[in-house]
Amino acid sequence: MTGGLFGDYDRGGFFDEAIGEDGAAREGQENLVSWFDALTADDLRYHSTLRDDLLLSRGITFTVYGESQGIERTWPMDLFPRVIASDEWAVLEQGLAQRVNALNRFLEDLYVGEQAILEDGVVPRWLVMSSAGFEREAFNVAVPNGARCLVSGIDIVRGGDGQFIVLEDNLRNPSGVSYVLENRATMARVLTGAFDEMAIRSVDHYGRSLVAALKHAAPPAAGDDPVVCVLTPGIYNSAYFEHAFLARQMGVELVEGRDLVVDDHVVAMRTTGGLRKVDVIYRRIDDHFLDPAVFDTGSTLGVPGLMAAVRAGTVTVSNAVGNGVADDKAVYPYVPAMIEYYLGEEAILPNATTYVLWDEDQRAAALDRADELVWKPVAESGGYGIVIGPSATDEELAGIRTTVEADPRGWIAQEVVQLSRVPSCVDGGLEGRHVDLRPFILTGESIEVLPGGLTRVAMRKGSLIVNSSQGGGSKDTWVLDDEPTGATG
Amino acid sequence: MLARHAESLFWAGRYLERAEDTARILDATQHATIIRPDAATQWEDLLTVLRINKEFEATGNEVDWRGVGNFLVADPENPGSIASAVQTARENLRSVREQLPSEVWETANRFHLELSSHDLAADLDGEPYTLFDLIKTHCQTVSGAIEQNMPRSDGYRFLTIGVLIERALMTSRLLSIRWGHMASGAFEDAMLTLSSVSAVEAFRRRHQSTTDPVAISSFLLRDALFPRSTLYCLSRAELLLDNLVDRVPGRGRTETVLGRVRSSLEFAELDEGAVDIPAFCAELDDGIRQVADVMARQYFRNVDQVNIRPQVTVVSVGGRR
Repeated sequence: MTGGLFGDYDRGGFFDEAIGEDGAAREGQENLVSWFDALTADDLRYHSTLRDDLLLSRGITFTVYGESQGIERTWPMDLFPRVIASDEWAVLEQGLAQRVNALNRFLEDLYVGEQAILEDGVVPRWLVMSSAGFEREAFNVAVPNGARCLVSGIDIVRGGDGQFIVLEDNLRNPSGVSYVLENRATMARVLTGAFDEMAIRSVDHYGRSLVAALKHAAPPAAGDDPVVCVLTPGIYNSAYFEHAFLARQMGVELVEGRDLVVDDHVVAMRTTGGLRKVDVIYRRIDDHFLDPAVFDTGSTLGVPGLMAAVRAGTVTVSNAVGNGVADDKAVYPYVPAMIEYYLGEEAILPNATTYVLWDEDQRAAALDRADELVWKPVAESGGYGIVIGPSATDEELAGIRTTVEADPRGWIAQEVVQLSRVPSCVDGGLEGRHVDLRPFILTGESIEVLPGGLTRVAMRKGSLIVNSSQGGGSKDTWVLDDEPTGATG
Repeated sequence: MLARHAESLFWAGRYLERAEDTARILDATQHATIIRPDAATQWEDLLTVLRINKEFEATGNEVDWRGVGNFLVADPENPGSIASAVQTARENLRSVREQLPSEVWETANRFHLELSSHDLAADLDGEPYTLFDLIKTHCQTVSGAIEQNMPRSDGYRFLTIGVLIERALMTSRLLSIRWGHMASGAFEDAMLTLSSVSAVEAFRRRHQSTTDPVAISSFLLRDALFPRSTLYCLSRAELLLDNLVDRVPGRGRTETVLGRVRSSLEFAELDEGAVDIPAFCAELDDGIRQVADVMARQYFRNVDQVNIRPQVTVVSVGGRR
């Protein structure tokens, strides 16, 4: 490297996704690194301004829940992309498909199968039965093709040794995929030069793949061209931008609960041309708000009678009801065992080292090292409720001890993973920042993994918290293509 | 299209038009009272045109420029005030924002933000003309964004039908109130009627200097070229309705009622001077409001049509619908 932006770049002793241990660009990223290296601080600021204007004018936002109605913010995207080599991606892709396959099988086994995995004692029955996500309403409700996790988001991190590991599964309503597509579109406009001579796998086909998977999951009686819609809680939801985006990408209606009506176990939407039958609902509202006749009676977001229609098999709701039991963090330690049990294979992607706290010995050992571990509530998502031992106050750690002793089933503890870093734009220069990765996996005719995924980055120096709701940013994620086509995604 | 989206667009159109019409009518009335102070009774009439006398009485305001002006421009409690109408239009557009070209939402949003940043009461005390001009310009910016950018899908049709229905109502209501004042044939009274709907120039081009109330009413109700004439609005709404893509096949109740109202206007013997204009306008008003009601039942709240099964399949062969 020259004396440019990378002149005094410091890997800081972490695994760096762009720069190897020898200080040179990793294979396949040479052009990218030298392109950035040649920029000045002013260039970087210029491109940042371009990016901000573009994101603002295109209205690419997310909502942070806070006081009153929540605050709408422009989506934060760092200019330096995260790159994944094609051979590394091949392993990830295989590992993710394997994991989702096993999770689908697990849910089928629990809800419409023999519960063989519980009978055989591979997963403790009491653990499953006590899960907040285990839903009796899902019992004996068939899902076409067993595609229960139609859309999955599996959070992956890379530790100091360069090994990819699975941090958690998101099998209910994983969000973020719209930003994967928007990040790419934005990058292609504001950093056109960086794409030169890079062969990058495209992500633009996601809408087409999603609608194909949804149609594949339609009840057989729906015929050749099932009607699909996206069900959103409405404009005040933090992910509304994504719901609207996906409906547009798929060319289907974006509906709210009040747009749907159930008559004699058939779901229809109210259109200007009368009621129109709906075959597949890609719902982006939680199980408990789906149907006030069955779940939360106060819910105004849902559709009375929807669950009865699902049970009658006239409509498919995706993701399936009851998936929460499989992404319960206390069930997560058993996923490698599920893979072995259902597929007879060893897990390609390992879990992070995790302690189950309902086990007295593990709990005692973990609490002894409370300040060294990460503490997670089992039923939350989005980074809410997490306590990171090394950066926690004494008060927080004391709080953890009390809550864990009172509800050992409700928490897990994990070893801190020294997340890998990617060069990121900070004050007109480049500094390493920690990242994770959320790839998106579709269960359609086959299992399809969208190349790359959402890379989230902790923009605060040294921070390991990447959630956008907690002040994290994002990066475009480039999966390199072995066969260069000159396409820029 | 989704019934909820159609209804939001329809009301966005009505409220945008209401804001613009209110600005026009206020501007003209205020101008008239300046040159003819004895014309102060116009304020009472204006409230009648807008059908908000009762709501106004409840405020306890004086029936004068300041009281009525504030009520019609700035009062957040009055759902028909310009500030409220713009806000309601914006909220309706916001709920269907994803269905709209971004410029439509952005121009409407900017309009709302600009109005919110003004001290409207102070503007009315100072140079109200500039405020009305600003409002009219913003309205035209929004409708320009709609005309220039919006695909001619059903959404455009419902929004535009909303605009046209509101406009048709305003013109006929104005005429019914102004009729008594124009009977004397006084020039100023004729001008105030015409300027309230920005019709002075268009009328002159047609009839030069006459102030004959019969000619004026005939012009306002059914001139073929003037875009604020009631007949023009109804005919265009009828055309848009006929062109809807997503609808139950065949002629619905809305189409029937609208066709009846339009033809009763089109073929009335207005030019002979034998028609009782206020009574005619009242009937017209009822008819147009009935159109809006049946339209809401047929297109926006069509729950009574539980016809999910068997599915109606529309097969179009050749050019016939």
